[in-house]
Amino acid sequence: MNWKWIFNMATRDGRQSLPRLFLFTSSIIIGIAALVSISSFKDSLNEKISNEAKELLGADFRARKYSKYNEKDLAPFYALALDSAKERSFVSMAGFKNGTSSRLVSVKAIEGNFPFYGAIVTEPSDAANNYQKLGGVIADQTLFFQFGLSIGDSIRLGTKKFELVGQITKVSGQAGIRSAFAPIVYVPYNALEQTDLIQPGSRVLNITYLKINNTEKLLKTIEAEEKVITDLGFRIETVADRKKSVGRSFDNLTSFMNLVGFIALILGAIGVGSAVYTYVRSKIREVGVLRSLGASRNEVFTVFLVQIIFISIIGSFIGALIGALFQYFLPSLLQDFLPVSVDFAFQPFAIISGVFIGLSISILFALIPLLQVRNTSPMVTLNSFLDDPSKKIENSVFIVGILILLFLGGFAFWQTDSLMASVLFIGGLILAITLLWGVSSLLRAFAKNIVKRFSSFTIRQGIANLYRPNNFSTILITVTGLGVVLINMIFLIESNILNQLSFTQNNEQPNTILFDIQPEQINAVQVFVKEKGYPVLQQVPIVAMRLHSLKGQSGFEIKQDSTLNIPSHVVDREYRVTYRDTLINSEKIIDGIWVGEVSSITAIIPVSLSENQAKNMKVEIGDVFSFNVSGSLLNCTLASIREVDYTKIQTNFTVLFPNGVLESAPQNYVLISRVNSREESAVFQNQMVNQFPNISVIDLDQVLKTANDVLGKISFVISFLAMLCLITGFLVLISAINNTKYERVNEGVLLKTLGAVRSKIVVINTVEYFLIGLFAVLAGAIISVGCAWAISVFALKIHFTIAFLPLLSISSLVILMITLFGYFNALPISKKPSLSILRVS
Amino acid sequence: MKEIIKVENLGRTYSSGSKSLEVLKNVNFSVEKGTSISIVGSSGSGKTTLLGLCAGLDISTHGDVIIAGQSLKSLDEDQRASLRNKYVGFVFQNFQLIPTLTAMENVMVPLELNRKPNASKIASEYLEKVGLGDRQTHYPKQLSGGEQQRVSLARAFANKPEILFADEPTGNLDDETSDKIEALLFELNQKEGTTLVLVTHDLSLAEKTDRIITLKKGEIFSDSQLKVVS
Repeated sequence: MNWKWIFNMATRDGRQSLPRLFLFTSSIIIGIAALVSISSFKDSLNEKISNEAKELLGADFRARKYSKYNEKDLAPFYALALDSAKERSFVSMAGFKNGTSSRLVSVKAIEGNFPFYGAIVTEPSDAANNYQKLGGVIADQTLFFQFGLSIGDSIRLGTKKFELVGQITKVSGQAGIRSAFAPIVYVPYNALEQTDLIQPGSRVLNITYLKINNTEKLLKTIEAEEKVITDLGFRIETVADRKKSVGRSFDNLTSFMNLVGFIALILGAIGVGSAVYTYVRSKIREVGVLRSLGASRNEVFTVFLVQIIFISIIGSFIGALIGALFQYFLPSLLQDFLPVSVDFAFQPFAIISGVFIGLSISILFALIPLLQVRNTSPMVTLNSFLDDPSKKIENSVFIVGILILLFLGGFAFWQTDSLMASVLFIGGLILAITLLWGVSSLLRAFAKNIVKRFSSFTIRQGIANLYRPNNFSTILITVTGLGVVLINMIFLIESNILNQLSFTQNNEQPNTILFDIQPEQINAVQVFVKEKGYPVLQQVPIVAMRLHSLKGQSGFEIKQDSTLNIPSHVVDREYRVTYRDTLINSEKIIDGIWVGEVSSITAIIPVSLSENQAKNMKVEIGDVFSFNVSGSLLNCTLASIREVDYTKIQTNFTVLFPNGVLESAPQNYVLISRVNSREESAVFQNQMVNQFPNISVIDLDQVLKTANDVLGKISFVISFLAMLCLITGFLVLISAINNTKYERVNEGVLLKTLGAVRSKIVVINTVEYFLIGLFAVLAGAIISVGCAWAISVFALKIHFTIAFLPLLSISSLVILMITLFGYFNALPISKKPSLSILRVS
Repeated sequence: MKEIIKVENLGRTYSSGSKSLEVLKNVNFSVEKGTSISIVGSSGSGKTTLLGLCAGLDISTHGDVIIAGQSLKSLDEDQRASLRNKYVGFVFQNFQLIPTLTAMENVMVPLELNRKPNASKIASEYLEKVGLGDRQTHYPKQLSGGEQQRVSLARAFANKPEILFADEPTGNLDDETSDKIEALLFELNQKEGTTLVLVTHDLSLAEKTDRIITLKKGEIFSDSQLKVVS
């Protein structure tokens, strides 16, 4: 090959052609920018998590358990410790403003200098160090904002009033969103008993924090003591464990974000492919001339390939630069979810991989139309009717197709680390694009059929533009349609989740849950609730227990045996179990026989498990297992498996015992009621706190409001990413308009020469783009409703309804924007004098 | 004299679906080096198809074309391109200049493809010869039709081809410009000693060549020697 000529030709021809092509390449910029910014953010976050790993845990070692334990159980670890601290943590009601306001809070009673690493940042700054000495409390700043509190005000926890000595602005290693449901209140450890909040059966997490410098010894001790501490029911965590779990959860988040960014890049690449197709078509004569003059097929092909590579490199670098800068804003978008503060940092690997991915995908998508250059006959120079390259599809096109699939699959696998997820991602994407392509083709065929029914010339012309040769309508409908699909889906799923949560709006549904009710209080609480005029809709006893053995294997053995494939939480978690003789309306037996009562606890007890719990425990009807209830072992057999509808507001249980076993076990009660309004609920909560300080109240209205806020924040981040797809769609749109500008100018001028007034040309263009917008939105809406329905019903298992308001708002906005593009594109054409354009043509 | 082109039983059939159209049937003739011939005929008679096959732009359905002793049938697509670059020059009815290259760069294309040294100097000389020394940096759209065809002539002759194929070289020009281009074409052809194969329906132009082959319905209708070639 004559490389010198190839580069000379690519450069000389590129001077005039590349600016036109560059607009199309701009469509990959957004995708690359998204990938680079998200990957840079991910790298920065991982670096920060590595650097601040100790602050995430606040200690070198943490052991926790839901029941009280003897510190001697942890003696081997204490022997290594330079410092130690204890925490008791639980949720409870807190009263403010002399009992006029109350709210569910997360109480943490601390003894010692925890955290050993990082800090609890407070105002005043020394409050975190002094509150234990002063006997006061420090509380999350959200409580100060919500109740208009000041330092020096009092807060009531149980039966004791504390002075607020500081407000917490940040706790190292904790995400801000954690305070949305139950803001933290730190109290001195020794003062906790005075609150009378901890009653038998109360769900209190007891934690020991140790500062241990010798990591090697610590790990050896954990290895040696693992069986003992697992059997004792401890969950232990080291800095490395914490780092791994935090890293993994954010890896999942950033991988998800990267996949959405990747969709924007694929859309951009489809745009590049269509641009190159148009570019190649406009170059057919040039290719013919070069072939006539003696250039080989590969030489001519390489001239254009060099141009595409060059322009893709520029596009990729611009994208990478924007992405690197955009990374500056990402932490603020996600700050509520981050346990560490992430600073702006230049991440070379993210930039290089972003450029490589952008460049590769852009070139791969460009190759398919570009390969047609090789089929162009030099006879096109002699015969004007031969302006199409040969329709013959080269084998190399199939090879490129396979390379594209492998590349997309490889990227998905890199992000998800799961072959199944990668196949689903690629399969789903191909299906969505194929469906959009199909729907847009059908809509265009429909337009072709109905065009004759319109008497208006301008409308007929506008509709005809959708299916005439060299149109871009299918690609535009597909690319913008996919953006619409993503955004619609996010809004539809969000609104359905909120619908599901807004059960409290329904007068029939419970909206208030009282828990931690002691057996001796239950009658008084019932009377109290009824006296206030509210119903007692449900009241159930709760017994806490842990799984002791499963099919003859101890908890430790189950955790050690990876071939069992039983998740560790099955062994580690504390089960909140109830007992009764009948099923409730959210339950249905799907296997085995329901046993509602037994006469003796010495026999093997027939229990019922929920479908998911049985699946997690890998048990079938008749299998045996045992539970530890406050030191007593209960041998059980699986008598039945229940399908449980968790979407119903009931107290639903994974493990259900029959009557006759747990009646004398330590227990407390949950009572469910319905309060008429938010105002009444606030009053009721205050009265409850004043009358029964140890009982906590969950106001589902408040939960709904908080869930709304949290979902809003999550959906904002996802919508933002989906917007990138839509912006890419608009970039492809702008480029397509620019690429067909000359044809449009010629047509416009021809129409003007034949007597069309300027306004008609504007209307023709506007109608065409309005229809493209309409079709993109229709195709996108049909597919998004289908996908959102499938996700809601099969994955989230919630009732699906179409939220018309967001659907209509998004649709109208997209149609309006695309129509405006068409309108403003037509204006300069309509204003050009016919003669000047004809001369140029 | 030595034969530079030999056409043997040449035929070309185009197929479209189940239909086929035989455009050329068993055409035989040869062209001697340094002579000029015209191929004339009415529209659809097969002139352009014959030119394309002779120049190796297209492949025959049957028969063969031998250029400078090389059978085109035995060459693949890229070998034919290489042969064109070495032996053949073109002048097209629609000029076929590359719109994104300047006049000078257009002329340089075949020279650079042929790896000739001093391509820009040669291109400049030929543009001077066709009277466009001052328009070298102009793009095709900045030139008139006549000027574009001059650039085309410069591009065709600069590579010193053995054979020049010209397809209706004046077909898109007015009479006055046509006369000038014709004069330039024959002048350069004579000076460079090139074999000229001209496709035209303009009989007055055809009569300026040494020989006229008339095609009718894809076959040679007549083959007239106008001048005695020594």
